Amino acid sequence: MAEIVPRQHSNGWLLIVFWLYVGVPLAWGVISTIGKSMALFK
Amino acid sequence: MTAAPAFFSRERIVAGPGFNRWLVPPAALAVHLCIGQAYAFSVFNAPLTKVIGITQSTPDDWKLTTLGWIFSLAIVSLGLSAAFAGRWIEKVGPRVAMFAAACCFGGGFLVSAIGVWAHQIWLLYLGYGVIGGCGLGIGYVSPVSTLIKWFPDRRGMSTGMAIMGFGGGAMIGAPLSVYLMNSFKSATSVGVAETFVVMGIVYFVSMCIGAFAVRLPAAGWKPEGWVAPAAPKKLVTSNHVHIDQALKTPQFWLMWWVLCLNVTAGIGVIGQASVMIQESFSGRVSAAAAAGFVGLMSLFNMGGRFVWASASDYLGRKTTYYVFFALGIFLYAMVPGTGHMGSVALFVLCYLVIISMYGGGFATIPAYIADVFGTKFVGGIHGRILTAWSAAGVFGPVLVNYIRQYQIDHGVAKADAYTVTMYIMAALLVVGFLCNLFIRPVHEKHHMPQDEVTETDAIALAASAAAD
Repeated sequence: MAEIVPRQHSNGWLLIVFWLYVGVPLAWGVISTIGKSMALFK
Repeated sequence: MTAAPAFFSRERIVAGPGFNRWLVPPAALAVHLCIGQAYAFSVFNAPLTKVIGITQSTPDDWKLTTLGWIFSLAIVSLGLSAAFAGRWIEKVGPRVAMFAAACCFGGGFLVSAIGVWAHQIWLLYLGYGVIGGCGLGIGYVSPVSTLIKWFPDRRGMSTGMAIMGFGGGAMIGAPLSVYLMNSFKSATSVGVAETFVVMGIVYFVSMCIGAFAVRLPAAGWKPEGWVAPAAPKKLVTSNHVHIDQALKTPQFWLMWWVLCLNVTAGIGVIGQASVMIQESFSGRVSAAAAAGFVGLMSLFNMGGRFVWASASDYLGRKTTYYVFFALGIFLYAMVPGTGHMGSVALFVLCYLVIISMYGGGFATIPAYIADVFGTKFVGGIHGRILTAWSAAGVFGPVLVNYIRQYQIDHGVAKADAYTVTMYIMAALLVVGFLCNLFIRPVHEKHHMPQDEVTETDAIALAASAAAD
């Protein structure tokens, strides 16, 4: 009889890709805001 | 043989064994990063006043005061849709709710694009203001309540992550809008309609990815190795209060005021920050430096959402709000002094801490609701409490603008015109502190009967079994 293996719904790559999907645009937004904020210190 | 649950059904998205819960925060962020664009809507204001004249405003062009209603309508629709759709959101589950939010938010942009082409302001009110605003409300609440269910051990951190996305959305939306408008600008167009079309499609797709990726935990699921504390903190309940019953508790209304007053104080100074720093330090702070200050504030607004909400997991929700109010009272009272001292650095520092607590207030409230009312109807109750945001959106700016104008009309120097406003904000925070003080555990007469909880759990369990 075959052993019942719990269904794996996710893997590490999917996790990384999904976090990059939201992380990269957010990082772009943060970096561009930091660039704008530098005007305060000039 | 049982039929497979429909793609959009709640049953279909119950996670099976082995699902990694860290896939849920990016799904929530995919929605919040999009709807957070609302904070950056002001980048469209100037181009929208030149839709006909292209290079300059003509008498037939829209005025800024006319355009201001678009954002106001969106925030009011956010509060109302979150409040009235709460029960529906809980019933249909996050996939349907997030997809509906994507349709509304993306569709709102498309309707607005038609409004710009036809130069019909009512289409912008209907499109971005009402339809888009409903997308904001539904899209805001749904991922947050889902995350709370996945992270019973870190409620504050999980809600902080999602709501941080709402703060960060403007940082993506603003430069993206400017880039697209510059790309589409021509001799016959300011590029706003084309930008609305592109953004509507991009946001719709991005939010759909979040909607299709989101999962609900199976009934009775707990993080591996996590055991609920045997003696939880005094305010943290293991019971559940029904969404309709919550309205009958004093805790609901105290929390409503806690959020409203915290947001009123913050929102009142956000819109004025650029003018305030220039008038308080006349000749020393340029318009460009003031814009930099506003950018820095948005970074702290975003960061505060994650940092304060995460800190609330250790401090406790009530203590975190005590900090917001007590520290807020001190800082608001101190701001006029920094102006008189001529210390720009201290002024900026005070504002950055204030704005971080403004964001923190938004991010901590869902976890506070879950602690006090339980997790079963947290999305719906959160939606109803968010009407406090809509109310604060009116109170805050009105309070600051009118008091400032009154002062100037009575001969007060512009640099000193904000002093009274700051003291009034500090007084509001005193009231907020007292509201927080009176929040006690919900009386057991409001709790859902155990058989009702068991019955809903059994239905959910059957659903998760069907999903497996």
